[in-house]
Amino acid sequence: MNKKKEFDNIVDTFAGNIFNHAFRMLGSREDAEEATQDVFIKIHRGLNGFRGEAKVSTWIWKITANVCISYLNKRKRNNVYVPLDDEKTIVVDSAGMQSPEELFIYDENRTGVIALMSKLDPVVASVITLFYIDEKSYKEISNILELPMGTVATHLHRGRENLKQLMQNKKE
Amino acid sequence: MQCDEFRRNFNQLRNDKASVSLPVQLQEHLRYCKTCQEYTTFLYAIEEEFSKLEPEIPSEELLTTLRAIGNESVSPVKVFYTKKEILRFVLRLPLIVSMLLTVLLGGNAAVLAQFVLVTAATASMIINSLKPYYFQNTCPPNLTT
Repeated sequence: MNKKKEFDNIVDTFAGNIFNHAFRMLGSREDAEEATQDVFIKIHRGLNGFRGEAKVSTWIWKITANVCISYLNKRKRNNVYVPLDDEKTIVVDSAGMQSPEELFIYDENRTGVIALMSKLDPVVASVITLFYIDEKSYKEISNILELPMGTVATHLHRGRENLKQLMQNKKE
Repeated sequence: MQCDEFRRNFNQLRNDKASVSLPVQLQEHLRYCKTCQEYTTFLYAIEEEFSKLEPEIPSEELLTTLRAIGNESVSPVKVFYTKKEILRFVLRLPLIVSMLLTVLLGGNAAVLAQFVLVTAATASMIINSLKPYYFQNTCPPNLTT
């Protein structure tokens, strides 16, 4: 298969997933579009050099995760606040919610768990996104981020704890 | 069973995405421990929140741009610039132009250094004055267009 055809296949298969991952990580459509394009430029440049040691999908996810993490790091370094698109769109009905934990999520500011993700450490946010949004297993996340499985578990645990803390702080 | 042990086991089950019901030992602990009840409720709520999110679909414009990358026979260039990137480039222009002019007009190193300093100070002033509008959108969500 020639490079052009191979690349078109990758666009058709992965564009949606990559954009979705970037959108959940970065919280804005504009940044997600920019990041998605960066990912595909890297894929195009690296396609010839891809030696097939790992699965193509793992390689693509690895690029995606790294690009999004570097966007978040850059954002943190420059202290840029990006209004999250989800801040406006998460509208939920709090009727029927019983525990205070559930009410934290559906608070009166209509700011959901996704909006709070931007406050997490980029790598932790990446683990949470890969696990919950992209439904990757521990092993897959470990391969994508090149982290030991134990570290993935720790990041996931820390991410949940931080989210809980953020929600509590928000309520107080 | 201690809370730590409960959480470790419970997390392990959630991490494995096991849909089976909790083992009896965990159920026993959960029945009497209010802290762990809150903790598990929180985790279930988070999972539900994530599962409710609809996937974001890329725009046709982005897909066209991505396909165009594949048409480049040599190294592809970025074509899909955002407003922020363009602004950053525009703000750097005076610096680049002044350096070019200095070199073209045969200025020596001292003149060049002066130009660089003055332009950098001006650019930084402009960036700082624009920052609240372009880099930090502080409008409440309902006021943004």
